[in-house]
Amino acid sequence: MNLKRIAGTAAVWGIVFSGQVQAAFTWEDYYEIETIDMPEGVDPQIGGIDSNASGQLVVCFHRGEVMVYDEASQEWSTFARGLHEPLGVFVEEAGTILVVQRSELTRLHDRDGDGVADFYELVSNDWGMTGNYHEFAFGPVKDSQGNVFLSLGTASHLAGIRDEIRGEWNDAGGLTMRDFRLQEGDPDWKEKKENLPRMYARVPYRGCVLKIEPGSRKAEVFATGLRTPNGLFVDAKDQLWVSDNQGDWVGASKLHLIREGGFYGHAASLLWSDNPPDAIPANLPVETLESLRTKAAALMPQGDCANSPTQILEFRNSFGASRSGGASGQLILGDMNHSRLIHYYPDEVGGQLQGTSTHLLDTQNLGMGNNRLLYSKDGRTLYLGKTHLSWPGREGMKRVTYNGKPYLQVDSVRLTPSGFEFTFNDTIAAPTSVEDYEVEAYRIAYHSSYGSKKYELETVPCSRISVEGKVLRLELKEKPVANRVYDIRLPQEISSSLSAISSHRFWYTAHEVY
Amino acid sequence: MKRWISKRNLRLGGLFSCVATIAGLAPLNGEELAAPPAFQTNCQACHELDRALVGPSLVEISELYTEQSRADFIQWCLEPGRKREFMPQMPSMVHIPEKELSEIFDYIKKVSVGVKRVRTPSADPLAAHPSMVRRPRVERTFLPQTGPASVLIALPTSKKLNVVWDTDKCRLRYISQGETDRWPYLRSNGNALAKVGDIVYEEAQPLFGNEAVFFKGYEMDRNGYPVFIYEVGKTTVREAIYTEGDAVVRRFRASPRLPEYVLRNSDQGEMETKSELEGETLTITHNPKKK
Repeated sequence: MNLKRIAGTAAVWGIVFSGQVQAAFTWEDYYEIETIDMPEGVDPQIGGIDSNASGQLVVCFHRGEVMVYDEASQEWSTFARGLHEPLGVFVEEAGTILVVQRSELTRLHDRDGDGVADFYELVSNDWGMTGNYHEFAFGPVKDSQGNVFLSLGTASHLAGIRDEIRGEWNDAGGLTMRDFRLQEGDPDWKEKKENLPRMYARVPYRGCVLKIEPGSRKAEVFATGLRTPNGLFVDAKDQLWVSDNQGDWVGASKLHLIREGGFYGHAASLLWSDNPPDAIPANLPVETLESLRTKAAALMPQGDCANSPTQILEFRNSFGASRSGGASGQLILGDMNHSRLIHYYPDEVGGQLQGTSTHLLDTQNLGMGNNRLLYSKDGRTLYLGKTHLSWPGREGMKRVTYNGKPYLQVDSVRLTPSGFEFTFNDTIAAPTSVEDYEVEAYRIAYHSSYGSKKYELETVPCSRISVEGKVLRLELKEKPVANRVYDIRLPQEISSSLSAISSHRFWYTAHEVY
Repeated sequence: MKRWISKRNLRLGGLFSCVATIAGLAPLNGEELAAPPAFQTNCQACHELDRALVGPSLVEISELYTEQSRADFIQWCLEPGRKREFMPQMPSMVHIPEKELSEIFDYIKKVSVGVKRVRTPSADPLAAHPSMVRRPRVERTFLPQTGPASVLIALPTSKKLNVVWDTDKCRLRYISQGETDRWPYLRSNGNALAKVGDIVYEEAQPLFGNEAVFFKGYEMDRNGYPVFIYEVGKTTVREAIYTEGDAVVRRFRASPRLPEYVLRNSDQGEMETKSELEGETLTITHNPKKK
């Protein structure tokens, strides 16, 4: 390991390269990270954040409160209470607030204008529930036509179902309710479990993305194949993005661009597709599932890149130094297990959407558990709402404000026939010795067991590095191959007149190659 | 500022002494022990040194696995099971090469030497907070003996009566008596049911028969009592739940006409139930029996 690399990890270390002197990059030089005080008497785990017309934050909490926070006065007020694990809020134009609970999509009205909800209107409860703890409901987001999108978590094989369920049980493949019924302290449960698939979707429409049209209480299946889709986002082009968490059929956490009728890989929810199998979906041949599925826009390898990605937002120029943000389709995501965000750069090869993930705001001051993200109106501030439930995470809220000072950041990452092309937001100085660049490639499996090893893991040496203005090109000794994730570590001494490189490790998902 | 650093940086510890105070290092016989990178990336979010967090502490893991049980430890990481009722099952660590799991094992064994386990009791930190125990209080959670989309209404009667109302069936399922407790639900991330006290009244059959029902929502009045709104066939029914003294009152209004109803209860002998129809308004009163 060379000395220059080490220098990058020490915030105080000055580095000298090509005549330029840049201190190692420190996020705190560009972002102020503050903690927002939580209201008293509330379990400060946050399921959703939005802002209202007055610019106040509207926040929903683990135990069912929806509260309004006025930043100027730093005061919280309670708008609604008693909701069931609300995991998303959306302030509508009329001032009403949509909130998704385990059991329903609810519209909260304040009809007398006293600042407290007085009508909890059911918008839709058109989906099933078995009472399994893992059956979360996520959303809501709206497209430009006013359609609401939600997503539903699958049930966990680590627990059973309740005696009373909602929705018709689907017994495809001969699995009946009795097979899944869990009585308190059931001694047979362990044995029962052995014969069951992992995450399951036996009531409508677990593991699906749902669309609810304006004025309708009917939920339509928009897409299938999700496991724990805890992040929805409609971009400026009305495209729906959904994140999913690593597990069975999800070898690494995923970012999906969702199209109507698409199947995104997790087998269980095929029961709710237009053409449902008359079999246990997890027992279908992998080749069959493979032929049905749409591959993820990004695979985010467990631990290294992301664990349990959360909400998605567009990356805004106002929040960072990138000069092609916004229009270029870059996204950011939260992560439950790590004190950082994920920054996604799209790429397209042969019509296949794929792309690169890296880290943003990778600093312990951010804290982990960043479940919900919201930009301020001016786009300079990002609010982070934290949770953990029974998993890793944290509580409370952070406010992260960009000071507008430009820093060196990657604007795009493209696959080339021979390697990768990084375009920066400034003219760079970078080492050109191939030894300074580390690239590993491996395959993430698509299979029914949990997660994935790094199959066919190998180091891929670079054969040539070239630097031309803002562009850095890596040529690999062996041409990139399809169905790989490339873990690319750039040297930390890449710098420009702005700063040292802000993030130097990238995971490129290469479903297709040139 | 805290900053996790990896073992490779430590080899040059002499270069910058600031690393000695950095998190991610644990004291060991006066020296510092660095967590392997795979531990930092995959383990530390859930496992603290001396106390249970999401998973058991490193000290507890070290007690469970002797020096000789390295293979068992690695096997558990690859195919974990569940040992503790109120902890989630660890996900498989199949993505970590076995060599690195072995390094993690070494680290856990070393870092735990001489460290005492701190036992943290699991209690609801908000158990007694007024916001959690106030009555009347309407809250949705997983409740016993009802459907998964039910509402608990904790009422301010002297016997602490509670109504459990099912939004899917659009009807009262039962009345219970006593303090309620959501902590079992919260603590288990929804795997256990909330406690509702003792059931003192049940309605075995729907009041309005088996006609199709549609839940429309509920209003909350200024005093915190709900009015459930639902359709029975083509009729919209408004069902207010409130108290009069120690009694639970349900008042049904409908337009244009109240649907036909039959009140069949399986009274547990604790409550005295009366119904009264006046125009299109039905009032059902449940009074605790005086003993």
